Amino acid sequence: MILPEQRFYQDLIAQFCSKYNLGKPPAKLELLDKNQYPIETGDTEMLTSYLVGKDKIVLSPTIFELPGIVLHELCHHFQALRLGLIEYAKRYKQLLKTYGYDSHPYELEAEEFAKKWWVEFASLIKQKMEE
Amino acid sequence: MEEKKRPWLPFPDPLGIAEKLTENTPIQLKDPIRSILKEEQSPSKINPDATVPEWVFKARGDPERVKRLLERGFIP
Repeated sequence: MILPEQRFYQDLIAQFCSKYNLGKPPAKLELLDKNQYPIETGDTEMLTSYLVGKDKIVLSPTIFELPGIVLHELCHHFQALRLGLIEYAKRYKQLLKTYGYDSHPYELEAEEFAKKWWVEFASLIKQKMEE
Repeated sequence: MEEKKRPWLPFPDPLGIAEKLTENTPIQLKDPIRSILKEEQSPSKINPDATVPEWVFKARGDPERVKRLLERGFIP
């Protein structure tokens, strides 16, 4: 089941990318319900994830409570655009072996990106909620 | 995917979302899933003032989660 609120987030991300000249938005953004999300992604922590082969961000209902978690995935999308989807996936795995998750350069960059853009992103959410 | 050996678990749980905190407590879903399932979310409940807490990065980096996501073609 695709949640109707998916459109809100698709527009939000597209506007955010455009407003701040960040680059092309992801090819797809999907919001899954609480039952489908962990089955499709394997993410039992119910966060967000980036399906690199399809350039798709997948959201769980946690996005309502913590809307900023999507920024982390958005950064993975931009990283993938820089290197190309296939090369990025390969490089991500190589770096994971070397650095682990906590010191992975792409993960640290994604965390920095999320912190850097949170205020602007939150402001855009408020603006869209008032529309 | 190989499931962890948990003799107390009477049903399959390949995603590893069930837990038993002590020998005498009942089987339950792990948090944050348990909390999320308490109530349905709706866009009107979006909280634009909620900053992402530290536990999210730790949860993202859980080795089992990382492994499961990579197996499915996701970047964790």
